[in-house]
Amino acid sequence: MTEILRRHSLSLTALFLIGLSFQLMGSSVRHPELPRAGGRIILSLLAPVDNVFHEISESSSYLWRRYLWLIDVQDQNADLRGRVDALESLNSRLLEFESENERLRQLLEFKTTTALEGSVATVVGRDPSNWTFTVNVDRGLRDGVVEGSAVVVGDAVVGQTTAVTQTNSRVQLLTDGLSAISTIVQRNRAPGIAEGMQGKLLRLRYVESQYKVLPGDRIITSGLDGVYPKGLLVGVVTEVRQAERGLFHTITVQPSADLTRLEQVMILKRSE
Amino acid sequence: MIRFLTIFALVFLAGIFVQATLLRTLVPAAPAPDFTVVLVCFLALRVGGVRGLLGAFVLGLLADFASAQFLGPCAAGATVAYLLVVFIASHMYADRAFSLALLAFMSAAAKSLVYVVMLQTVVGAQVSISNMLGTIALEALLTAVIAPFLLALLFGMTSSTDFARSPANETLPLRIRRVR
Repeated sequence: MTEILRRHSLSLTALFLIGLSFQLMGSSVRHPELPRAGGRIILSLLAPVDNVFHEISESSSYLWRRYLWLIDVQDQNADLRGRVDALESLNSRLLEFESENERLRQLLEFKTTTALEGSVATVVGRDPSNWTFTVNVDRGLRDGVVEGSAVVVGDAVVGQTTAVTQTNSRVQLLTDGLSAISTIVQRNRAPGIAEGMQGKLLRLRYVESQYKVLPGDRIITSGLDGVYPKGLLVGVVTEVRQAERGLFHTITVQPSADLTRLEQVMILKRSE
Repeated sequence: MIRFLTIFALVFLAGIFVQATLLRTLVPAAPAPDFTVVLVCFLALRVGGVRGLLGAFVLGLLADFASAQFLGPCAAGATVAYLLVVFIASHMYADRAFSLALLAFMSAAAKSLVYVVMLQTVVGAQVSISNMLGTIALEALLTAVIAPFLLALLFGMTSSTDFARSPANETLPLRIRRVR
């Protein structure tokens, strides 16, 4: 017996460790505070290096863009992009206000929207694993950031904070396979859940077949999940496969935020 | 032993930094090589046995902590990658750059597949393996490119006497040829 165990110790140990991994994963689903605690520790170790390296790379990039590459064109481009982003953001909010105003007129009620409060953060790193879509930002507990805070760029959803240290935070992007946001279609108020697909697109689930959804429809947050305020832009519908027999459509959504070129984001103050 | 562990820990942290910050800043949104897999290959080739397996498991667990999402998928992936390297190294010479790169490629692909399968089965995440095959292959290829250099560096910085294997833990057939 001892000889058999000795000869197969590697295989037996491997089987035990794989079983332990499944058990750990199940436990971390039920108790997410444990992996987050570990993540905070590693984030604390990496954060100073991330911040220093980001400063160095920003200075080098600025030198290259401003003096060695096209002078002024970069500034003009950035200025125009900023103005386009601001106008798109304003347009989205105005459409929402218009739609809401119409409903309120019909109901003969009146309410006000709250202004968004938060802190601007810089993206200083991305997740070391290639399988979780997260970024690190340079704002943390000392800046009033808490776990479960919504993160936006302009009026477009980027994700939410999952691990927060004193100086840095980890943000789970909305394209992560484990991300789920409660949404509505802006045009017809059809509710749904926008889930990440571990890629560049989102899947909008649980939109009942009675609602007609078209490519080009804007998807906004419903405010029902307690994380994202209502009215934030999630994305635009790119493909709709109408439900033939099932209850729900199959809808693909292109996120409005450019997640590949995140530089500055805004972490919204979480309302109690 | 202490020197070995110190070098190993420093290389692991440096690898995490390069993977998480340096490469993401230089080439954002592109797949990055998996330094954890290269370290697992090093453990399989230099340490071997149950102790190497435990080291690979711990490495994977640390990578899971770094992600702050779930504990287990990287650990299981590292365990499977270790077993794969041990199995392949027992059937071929692992002393040339090409064979090291091949080992790294296959173990990186295996680790990624195990990760995706665990996400699907345990959490029920909507991740399609067929959609991810291209990314898995590219990451494995990048890992295979850096593996010979990093392994040569690690073998040069450590020596086989840093971590002597006891006969009790010798579980591999005699025909294994290890990188000196």
